[in-house]
Amino acid sequence: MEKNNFKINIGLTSFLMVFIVLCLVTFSVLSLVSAKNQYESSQKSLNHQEGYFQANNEANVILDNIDTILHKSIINTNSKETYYNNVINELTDKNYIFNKGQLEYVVKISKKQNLHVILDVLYDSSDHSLYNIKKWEVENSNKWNPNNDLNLLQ
Amino acid sequence: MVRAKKSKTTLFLMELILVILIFSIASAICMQLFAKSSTLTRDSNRLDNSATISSNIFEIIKSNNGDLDILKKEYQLYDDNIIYFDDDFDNCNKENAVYKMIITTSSVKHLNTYNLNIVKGKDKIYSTEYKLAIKY
Repeated sequence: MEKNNFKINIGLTSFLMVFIVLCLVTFSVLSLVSAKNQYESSQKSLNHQEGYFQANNEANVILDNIDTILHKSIINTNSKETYYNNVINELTDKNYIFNKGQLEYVVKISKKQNLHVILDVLYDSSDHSLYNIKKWEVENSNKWNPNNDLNLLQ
Repeated sequence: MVRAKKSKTTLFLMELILVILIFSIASAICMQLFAKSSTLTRDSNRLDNSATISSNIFEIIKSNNGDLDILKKEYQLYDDNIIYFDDDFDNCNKENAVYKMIITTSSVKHLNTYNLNIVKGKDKIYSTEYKLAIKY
């Protein structure tokens, strides 16, 4: 009598399926979470960059206005003092600080950052330019408050 | 005995059908998730590269006081101020291009405005505007 050794393992396929489906779900969810995080990170970095360049654009528009004012003020002046007085008169209504030949203004980037610009206003410069950019810098607007609760060894 | 064997085979067949059904549903959902994550990764790469290249180009223009001719030293600049990029966002010629950056300029008195648009075919990938004050 021939004996048939072939056995049907009922339930084995179900176990295998559960394992494969679990693997598939785990990997797909992990890849989706990672991709979403990467996308959010690039959006954040993009927003940060756009914020900077918007402030940069605004600062350039102000710089163009200042250049026009300086150009207007230098006509018919024969001394540095007269020129600076003309500049001060022209800048009275605007939010720029003019002190000792330096013009200063701030453009807001975000709640925490500002673009700080300082210009050296020139009179009778060799290259006939009316200003030099001395500072064009991103600065933090809120102060850092260190936590000094713990008495650390110094 | 034959009857018992027959019922076991039927049960196995039923289980197999069920397993295939559940597996196909689960794998269809998972494939959609994989596709979605692949699209998100591609989009974030495009955004990153586009933003980096745009700011690089603006800084180069700024360094030359607003003159676009300086770009010819760094990139292959075609007529109408177009720069082509391949799939990895490396500068390439028109024939191998995947992405295209169109630079348009306008100026009011001494204030130049540069619009940088990156497109793939007809789809707009990234668009930005830079302003630059030019000295009198």
